[in-house]
Amino acid sequence: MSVIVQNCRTCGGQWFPARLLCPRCGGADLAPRSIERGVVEQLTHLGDVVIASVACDPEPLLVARLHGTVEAGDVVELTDRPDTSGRPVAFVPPSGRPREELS
Amino acid sequence: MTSGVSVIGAGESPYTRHPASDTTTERVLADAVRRALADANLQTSEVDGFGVCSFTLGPDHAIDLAWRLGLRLRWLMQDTNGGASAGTMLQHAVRAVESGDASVVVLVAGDLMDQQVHLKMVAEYNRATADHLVPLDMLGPNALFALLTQRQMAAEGLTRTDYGRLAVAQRAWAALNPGAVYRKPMTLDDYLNAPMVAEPLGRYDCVPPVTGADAVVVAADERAAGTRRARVLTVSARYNSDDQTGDGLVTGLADCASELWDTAGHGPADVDVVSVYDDYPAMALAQLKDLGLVAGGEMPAFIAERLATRKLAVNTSGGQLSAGQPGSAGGMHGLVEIVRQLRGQAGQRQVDARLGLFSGYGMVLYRYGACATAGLLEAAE
Ligand SMILES: [Zn+2]
Repeated sequence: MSVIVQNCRTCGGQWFPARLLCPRCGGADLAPRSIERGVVEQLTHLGDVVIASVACDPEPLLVARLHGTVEAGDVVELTDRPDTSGRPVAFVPPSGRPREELS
Repeated sequence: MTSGVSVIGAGESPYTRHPASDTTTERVLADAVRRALADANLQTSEVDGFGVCSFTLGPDHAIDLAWRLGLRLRWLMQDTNGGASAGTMLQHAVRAVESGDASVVVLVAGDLMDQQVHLKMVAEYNRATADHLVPLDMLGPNALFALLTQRQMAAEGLTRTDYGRLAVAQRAWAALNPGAVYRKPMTLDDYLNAPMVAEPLGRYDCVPPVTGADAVVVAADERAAGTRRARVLTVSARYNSDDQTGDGLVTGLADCASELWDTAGHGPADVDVVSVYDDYPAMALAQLKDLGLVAGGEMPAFIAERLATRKLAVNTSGGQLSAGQPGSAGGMHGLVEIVRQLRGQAGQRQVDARLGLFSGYGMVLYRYGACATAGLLEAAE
C-alpha cells in the first residue's frame, strides 16, 4: 500500500498534488514515487469521517481520511484506495487523470 | 500622473440567507453597482473602467455584465481571487486611474449563493479539490481550517474561549449593522455550546453563506474634490507565497507588511479601523499578526484587552462571521466597510477613523488559502 507523489530528479523535492514544474528548482523532470507511510499531525471529525494532516519524511504534507484507530502522532500506512478492512490506514485519493501524466 | 486615487463611493446589495426565486447573480451585482454609483453621485455614463469577481457569473464574463449594465469602457478586468478580490482589483484600478487608462472605475464582487449553488461550488472549486479532497467525503474547507486552527492553538496558546471572544465581539458589531444577517446578541456560552462542525470549529466559527454583492467606485482625487473620500495610500498582494508547504499560520500578508507600512508612511499603531478577512477566526488572527497588529504569543491578551474592548476596531460590520459570506463578495465586504467608516457613513457603529486597513485572503489550493491582499486608506476631503 502506498501513495504516489512526484519526485523531482533534479533537486529531490517531493510534491503532492502534482505540479507542472518543480516549485523548488523549476525543473520539469518529475517522476512518480511511492510513499508508504507518514505521521499524523492533526486530525478532526466531520461526523464519522476523520480528516487528518499527514506528514511524509521529509515531504510532502498530505490531507488524508483516516480509517481504523489512529491518533495524532501515530505513524500510519498510506493508501490511494478507499479501504474498509478496518486496518489503520490513511487514504489519499490519487489524481483523476491517467497516472502517466504524473511523470 | 494624478495626485492621488480614492474610493468615492461604496454599495452593498442586501445580504440574504434565502434569496427570492427570481434572484440572479447579475441582478445582485447590478444592484451593488447601482448603489455604489448613487453613493458617489455618478451616472453609469461617467464610468469608463469596470472590474468584477464572481464565482457564479458564468457563462457570462465581465464584458457581458458590462453590456447589460450599459457601460461603455476603456478599461475592463475579470478577477478570480475570491476572498482576496478587493485588493487584487483595487491594486489594478489604482494604477489604471494613475496612468490615465481609466478615470472612473467600478469594482464589484458578488454571488447568488443558495445551498445548491454553494454545494456545487465547493465540490468543483478547483482540480485539486475535485481530485484529492472531495473523494475523502469532505465537502468544503471546514476540516482543513479545523486542522489549521489546531496548529494555531498549539503555536499561540489559544483556546476555544479566545476564538469565542472574537466571534462574540463581531456579533456585537453586527447588532449595529442593519445589513448583517445575524444581529441577535451572542454570548460566550452560546459560542461554546454550539454544535461542533469539525473540532475545534463549532457552528459560530464557520461563515453563513449568503447571497449578496459589494461594489466600490474608484476615481482620481481631482475629480472627487470637495467630497468625503477614502484615499488609497497603498495596496499590496502576494499569491502562492509558500507552495502550500507550510503550516498555513503565516499568510502572504507577512511579506506584504513592510512594503505596505513603508509606502504609506504609517505603522500598525496608527490604524483606527481594520477589516480582516474572517472566513474563520483563526485566519482573522493570522492576518492581524502578519500585518503587525498583534505579536506572536500575545493573541489571547490582544483579543481580551484590545479586540473585545473595541480599543482596536476590528471587523466593525460584524465581519463575514455575522454579516454573512456572499461568495466572492466576501473579499469586497471588508473594503466597503472601511470606506464607509472613513467617509463617516457607518451609522451606529461609526468609529473615529482617519486611517483604515483592509485585508483579503482566500483561494484554497489544497491545504489552505494562497491569495493575500491588503490596503491602507485614509480619510480625505
Ligand atoms: Zn526540483
